[in-house]
Amino acid sequence: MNTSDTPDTSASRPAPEAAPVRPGRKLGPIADTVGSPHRAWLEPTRSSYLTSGRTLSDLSAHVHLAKSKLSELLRGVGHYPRWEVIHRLSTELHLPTWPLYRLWKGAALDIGKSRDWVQSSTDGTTLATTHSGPPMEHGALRTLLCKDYRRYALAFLPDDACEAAVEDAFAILWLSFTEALTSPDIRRYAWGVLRATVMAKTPHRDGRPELEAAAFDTVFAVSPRTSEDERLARLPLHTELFIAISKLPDAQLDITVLRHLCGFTPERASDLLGVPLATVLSGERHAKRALEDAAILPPATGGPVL
Amino acid sequence: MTTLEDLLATALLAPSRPVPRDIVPLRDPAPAHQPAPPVTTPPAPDTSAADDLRALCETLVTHTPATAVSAFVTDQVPEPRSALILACVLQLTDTDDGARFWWQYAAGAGQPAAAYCLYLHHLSLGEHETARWWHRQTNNVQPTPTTSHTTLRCNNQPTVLHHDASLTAILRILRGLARHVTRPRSAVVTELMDYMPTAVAIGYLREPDMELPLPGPGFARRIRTLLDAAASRPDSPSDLPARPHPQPKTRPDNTSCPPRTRRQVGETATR
Repeated sequence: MNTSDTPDTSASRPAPEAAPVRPGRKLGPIADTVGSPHRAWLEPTRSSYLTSGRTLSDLSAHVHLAKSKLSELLRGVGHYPRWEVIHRLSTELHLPTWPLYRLWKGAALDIGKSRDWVQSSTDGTTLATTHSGPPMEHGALRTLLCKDYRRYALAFLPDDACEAAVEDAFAILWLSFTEALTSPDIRRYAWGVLRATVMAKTPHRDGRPELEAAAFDTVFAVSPRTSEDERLARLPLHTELFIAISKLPDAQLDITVLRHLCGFTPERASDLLGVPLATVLSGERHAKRALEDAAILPPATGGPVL
Repeated sequence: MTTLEDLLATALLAPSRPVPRDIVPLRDPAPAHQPAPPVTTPPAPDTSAADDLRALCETLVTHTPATAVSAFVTDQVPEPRSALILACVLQLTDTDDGARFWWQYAAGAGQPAAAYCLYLHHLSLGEHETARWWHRQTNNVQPTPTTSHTTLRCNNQPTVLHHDASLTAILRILRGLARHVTRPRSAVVTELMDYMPTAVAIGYLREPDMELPLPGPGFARRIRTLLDAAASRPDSPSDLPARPHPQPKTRPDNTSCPPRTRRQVGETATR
């Protein structure tokens, strides 16, 4: 921005002195082949390492792992790490052990490791004594949000996957709570974590989450006051509606699910999403227009011509 | 006749399922050599539109005079051009709440760059229909000649270039150039970026029903104070490192033949 009406000369000044960098080669990114459950604990662990200021050499000496192997671990390549290594890493990086263990275990089972492998990998570590509980603010956030997060997840997932997704989301939040607290809006940060966790467990088709199964779970469908004829007549329309909702852009999808499938007020949707009320109302208008354009409803038949 | 509203009204999900969706337990305790059934994961989001929007906002913010930014209609509502730039400043922060509505206001008042920002904004959100609509609006907001010429001078030799002068073409070129230029961010921009998100958040707490942010009666005064304070000191880069680019290009201090454009390129190069 030009504060005087003369050309901006800041571009001709030398760039500010660069911040000191970690010696050695820069840590590569997480491999594309790493699945969502693995990323769930790997990303906060990497983030913790990158902000710690420590070098790979220093860390590898303390966790008793070769530098190259540590680099592989932090990129998600090579063999899935055993818990004893992750436990040592969590101690060095001051990460809370309990949520890290939950996510590590979930990812291990997800890639096909047996429970025996998980158990043998855990033997010898002192998991129980290091469970010191989440920060108080985390507990408060959980109290305020858990029930409503579950309602959202239930639209996409069966019951036990829904519980697991919400628990995983709060575990990730615990693990990255410092980052959450320093984010511009902790509600938005937490929502991002929940959404990513739910979507990672939701089957997708053509890049969109599958939602049509929820058409069988509406109050209208399950209520004893709904006649069988009404249920059969409405079900195809509901299925088309839910498919159309699933094709909405992400923000509009969330708003529509929260408002109409979960029944939250615009104010509560705004609280959960961490966006202004105006954004919720605007998103809802756009979503409704898109749903109308999706031609879910049969065309109106004209009356008799006189 | 069933309307969309009727359908949505009956779409409410039961808070708990009387019959579970799937009776197979989530985690089947099978041997390790039987992998879990694959779940098609969501595709990675395309961030190119968001990156382009950021680059365009950096350029617009850098090249707009402060006098345009300090112009307000009331003590809370900026002039359209000021709203365009304040929205761009917001976009550069980690919270862009309110940016969309300032751009809408500015576009409605005839600022084509705001319409183009909205195009990129909606594209970055995957809202393709809305993005296309704003893309069409960009040229409609302020119709410009479809072709024009630009005269470049090098060693006092003029060279005339004929080119597509539609605003969308110009903004597309600008956004492409912005990707490859690294400029230090000025201190005044950094101060605005520090102030704006809180001001906008307060505005939405005060007036949650209003789309346009209304940060309070001291908003215009505060913006002018920040801009005046910057004007009274040398314009120096902030302590923030330059925005990283794959191939940063900086103009050398001693340039023997800098090309000069004689044509003003829409709003962005107006001084």
